Amino acid sequence: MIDVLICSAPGTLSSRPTLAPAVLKSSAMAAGFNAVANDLNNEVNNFIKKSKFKKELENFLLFQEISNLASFEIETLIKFCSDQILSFNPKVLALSLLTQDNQFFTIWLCYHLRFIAPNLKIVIGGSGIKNFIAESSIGYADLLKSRKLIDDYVNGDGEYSLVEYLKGNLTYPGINSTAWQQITNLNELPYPNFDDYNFSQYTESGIPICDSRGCVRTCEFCDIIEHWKKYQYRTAENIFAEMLYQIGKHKITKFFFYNSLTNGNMKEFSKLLDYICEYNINAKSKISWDGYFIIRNKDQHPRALWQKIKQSNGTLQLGIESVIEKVRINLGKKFTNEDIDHHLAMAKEFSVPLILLLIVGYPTETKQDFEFTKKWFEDRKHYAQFPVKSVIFSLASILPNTELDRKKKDYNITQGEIPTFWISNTTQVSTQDRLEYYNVLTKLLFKLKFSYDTGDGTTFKATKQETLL
Amino acid sequence: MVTITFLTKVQNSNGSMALKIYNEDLLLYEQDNFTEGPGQINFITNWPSVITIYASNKKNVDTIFNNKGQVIADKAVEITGILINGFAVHIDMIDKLFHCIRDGSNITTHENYWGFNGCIKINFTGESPMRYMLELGNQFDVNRLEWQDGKK
Repeated sequence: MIDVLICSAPGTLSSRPTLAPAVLKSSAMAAGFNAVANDLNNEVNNFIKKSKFKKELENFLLFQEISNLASFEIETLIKFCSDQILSFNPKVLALSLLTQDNQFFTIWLCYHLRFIAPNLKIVIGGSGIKNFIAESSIGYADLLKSRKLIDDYVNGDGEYSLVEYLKGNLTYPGINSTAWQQITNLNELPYPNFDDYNFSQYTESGIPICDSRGCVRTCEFCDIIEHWKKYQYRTAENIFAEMLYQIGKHKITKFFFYNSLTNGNMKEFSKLLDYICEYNINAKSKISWDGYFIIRNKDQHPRALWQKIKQSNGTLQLGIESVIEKVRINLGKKFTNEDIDHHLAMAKEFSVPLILLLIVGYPTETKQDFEFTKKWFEDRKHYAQFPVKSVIFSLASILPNTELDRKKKDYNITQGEIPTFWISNTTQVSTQDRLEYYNVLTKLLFKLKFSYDTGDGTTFKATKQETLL
Repeated sequence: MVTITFLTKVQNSNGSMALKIYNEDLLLYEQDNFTEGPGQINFITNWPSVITIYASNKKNVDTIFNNKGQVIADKAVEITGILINGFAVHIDMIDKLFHCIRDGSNITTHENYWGFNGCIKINFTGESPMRYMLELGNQFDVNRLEWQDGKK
């Protein structure tokens, strides 16, 4: 019997490994517990890929849609997960929910586990255990606990609180409470333990690494800054030592930074790039990485930095959100359109792949702004494919407990049942208008030969369904 | 084993309804003195099972009408919610799950307002409650805790 099985909760439709089980496993082991990390999310994604009911299973995971046709396949999937969990014979099952997309499946999985293994202790945690919708006053974790589907929940950083939970210290901050303590020194944490991962099972294989928590910016739509109130970073030495450790152990040199931004602390970021560049000079298998990158003015990101990003094989994910300068600055991203153009030009010159992240129809954007956005892409079609590898769209969401959520009255916004369903009474842009704009924009990008990813096409579907109600 | 909860709304008139709940011959629950207002009936049973409820103690005089023919008082137990291991069945399905035969009749009706003497059955079928919920197409609602009280 093992002390704890730590699983990623299914529902994240990503082809990359999740980090939390490996992080928590190492903390639990450092405290003397026998722990196994299982990236159940990926197991489920692989199950779905092979299923002839792919769409139906995805809709079950994300919207809890129960298709009559696929009802037995859904049952098989839930049993597949519960069998896998019970095969480890754990005393405690810790389910880590990355986002709210993990919530529905977690309910069904716990429901089945309670029936077949009533003595298994279930604890949930992660940033996905917060409320489901903005208007709801019901806490997701409290609801599951009150219905006895779980035993306990852990809010906030789990490295210490899960260990305290396993020790039986239920009064530790964050355990069955919303008040939790942020870890003060990320450099002290043990390196994630990926021994139980099979990296060959991932469509996009690489080692996830967390270099920072929180953010240096305060964008009004973002829930990260509500979760981690203070920006924290690891030193370049500490991050690079972990990279070398993981390379030695797993012979993998591709790293995914799971964070809000890699360049929050420019001094440490620049130093880390120096270490990677130096390593890459002689290494047979060179390090490559990708991560979020905030745009700043050109003096802060000079040519020398671009040279290093190139030599370190970096891919940058740029959170542009809106190409309307005043909208973007007001929402909290303090950079100009000239700054964006500088980054596009530098990336082209230094062959640095970029992924642009864009919110379609931000609440303060008008229909005229939609036209400007189309023109903006037309004027930059020479960046399609190179250096802009892809553009990831998402519909504007009003997430619970964000600044945008609190500003709804100021923006004259009426919100519906899901975060992407809202109407601005100031701009007179309806949800239907935004959906049409979303369609028009994707068609335009296709025509301009930009690759695009409707990162949350599922949200698009949910919003579309709601407009039909 | 599973925990079944019936959320109830009780109306009393000349006393209350009497209910006995069985799984085959095993008596799971018994009450003949319900308190008026919202309440709960909880019992534990094995899965799958057929639950039989016997309703009694209702007389014609317990339903009182005003001079316009409207009911102003009644003796009844209304089932406003069903929870199986904490997972609520959608309110629209509740009445459909009960198979009711009134004393002296052989007609089966589907009712969740039990203001009659008779026998009511509910079939908890399938390999597990999870299968049962999937079969019903029953979603767990994370935003409407009030379903717990049978309201929508």
